[in-house]
Amino acid sequence: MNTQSKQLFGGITNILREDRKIRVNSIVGVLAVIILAVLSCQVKNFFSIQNVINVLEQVSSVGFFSLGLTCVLIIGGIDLSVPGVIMAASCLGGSYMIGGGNWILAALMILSVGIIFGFINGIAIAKGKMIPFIVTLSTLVLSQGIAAYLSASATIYGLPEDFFIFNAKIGIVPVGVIVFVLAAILLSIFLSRTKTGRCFFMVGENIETARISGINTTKITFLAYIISGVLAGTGAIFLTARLGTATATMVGDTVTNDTIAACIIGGASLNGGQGNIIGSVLGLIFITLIANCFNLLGISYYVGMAIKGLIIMAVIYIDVLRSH
Amino acid sequence: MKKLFALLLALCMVFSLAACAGSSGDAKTEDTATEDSATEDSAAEDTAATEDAAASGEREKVVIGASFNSLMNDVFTVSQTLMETWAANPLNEDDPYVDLTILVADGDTTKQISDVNDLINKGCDAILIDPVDSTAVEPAIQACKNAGIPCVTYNRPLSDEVKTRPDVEVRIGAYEQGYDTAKYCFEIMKEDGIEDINIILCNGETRDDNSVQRALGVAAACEEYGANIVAQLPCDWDPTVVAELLPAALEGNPDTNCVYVATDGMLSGVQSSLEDIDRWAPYGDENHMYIAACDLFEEGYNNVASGYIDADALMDVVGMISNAYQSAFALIRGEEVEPLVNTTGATYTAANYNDADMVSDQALWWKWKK
Repeated sequence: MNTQSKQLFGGITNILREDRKIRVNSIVGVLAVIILAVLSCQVKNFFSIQNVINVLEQVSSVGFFSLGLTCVLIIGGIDLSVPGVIMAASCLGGSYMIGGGNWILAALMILSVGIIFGFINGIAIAKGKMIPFIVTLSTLVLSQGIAAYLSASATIYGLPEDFFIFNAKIGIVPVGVIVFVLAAILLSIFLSRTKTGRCFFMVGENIETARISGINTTKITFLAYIISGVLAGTGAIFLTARLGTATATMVGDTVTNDTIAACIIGGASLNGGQGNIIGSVLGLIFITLIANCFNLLGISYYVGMAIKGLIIMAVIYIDVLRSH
Repeated sequence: MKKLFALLLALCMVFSLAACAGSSGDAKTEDTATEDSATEDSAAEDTAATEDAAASGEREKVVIGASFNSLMNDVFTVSQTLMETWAANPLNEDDPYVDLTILVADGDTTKQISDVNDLINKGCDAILIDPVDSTAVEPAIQACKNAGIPCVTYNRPLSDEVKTRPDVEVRIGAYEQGYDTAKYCFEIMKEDGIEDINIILCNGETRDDNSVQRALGVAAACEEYGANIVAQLPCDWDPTVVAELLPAALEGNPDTNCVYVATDGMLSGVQSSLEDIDRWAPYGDENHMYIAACDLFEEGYNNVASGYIDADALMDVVGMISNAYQSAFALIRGEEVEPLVNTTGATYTAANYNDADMVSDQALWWKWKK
């Protein structure tokens, strides 16, 4: 090994020794790669084009949720309402369309529902100083109730053909995946390269210090929940087009757990002040690939549930290691 | 640092075990059926092996994937047991062995579509789907069509709005179940001199057409016998929901003398609600509440035998899974199949529950419980 290589290696080793967060993140990254490498060797067709597209489609279905959740986690909050918001938005847009409404207006209505719920969460938490967990749990129940009322607990079907433009493909890549990637890139740039974006981290690190420093913490908190709402509405549009229907139960119960786990694997913390969009996307890809491998390997449902529980516990421990 | 390494090693061990776990239900399949096939053959190699095996008189082996909507009650767990049992020990002489993979969607429509895509990617020769949602399952069926893989749906019927139909639909005669169980119950009540029948319907899940069809069957019987439906409760196949909704419905309709239960899986909720008002009593007792149920779980059969339930329409789970498998085998062989297969069962009452043809392993599907 030459002198430059030795210096580089020594530098990396020093950073790993001194910075606990980088050490933990590096180990998590290496571990994730090893696990996927081991599992992928067991699975036939793992690297086939079709499987890659399938995985990307699965990622984008809940990916918009994880992007919004990352922003909220960075400021030290939580948003549990997104699954219900997606269902309420979808049922409203679906009801409007089967009643003869225009599909473009319906898409805007779906997006608006996301914004409205983001607004409600933002006002309650930022202005009202209410506890994010309780507020977003309440809006989850409220949105689920709205979805059930609008759909009469039945499936809304018969959406106009034009609406399925949101399920079209460019080549072999679904439009939803492309929009998700663009949204991730834009949000990443916003958080890392803009003054407002960097304020998110300062608010999450210590809200009092941020406020004393002159940051409008109310505005930043409100903005985070609005972003989460917008992304929930966007996700609802693509999910409705993918399923071709709208129901009050179209988003599963485990989505929230999976998404929080993905964000924490990607570098976010439940304590706030940390996180990055690309990390969350990679975390979501990891969670999805694990499930994909289990399916392709035909691993028993019960074993899969147990392993998923262990993964979530490990993720929480990772968050603790980063923080202390 | 040491603790971190210990955790990492533990996780590596867990995932290594997962990687070695193999297909669900396949351990038994592989033990009994891998004398002539390796676990990692591709679908093309399996076909070649199938042809060779057929030529030499040995059983062929096919790859089948099953997408379950959930494992929430005995109907689903017994369905799983039957599939796994017949995968390793074929039911009929000319049935192939099955390399079976079962994926469970946990009531999540989006996950079911992903599961079916994963089964397609796995290279299945046929895919069986028990839909989470009778309408929203269409993308999954379309994916099978696009991949050229035969698709059989079973249990929950597809709604008429689904344009892309599977190759075969195996249904369970839900309308007949609802109609027959209500009819038998009303006849008993009429024989007992009860003219005014007031019935509460404890329905299943509204996005499950089985629930809708059963309720329609009950409604038809109500019209025929002049019974009044005083309340319809959307119970989501969940006994907890029954326990929440039924007491209020009974309180609001004190003249109720009959309860319809969409599945025996909800019986515990009905029992607790009736016990609270001293109406959980066997036939002949003055506090007896007439009950018409469906599916004939083990507790349903026992309650028919002991007089608490007056009529219980069997869901022929054994017949349904057998029909699903036979349809899949026929499609794989390229044979002509009926696009719609209806599997109906008898209605059990105090008069016939012990008859010879009513207690066979074919009829009492819960005997297959592990």
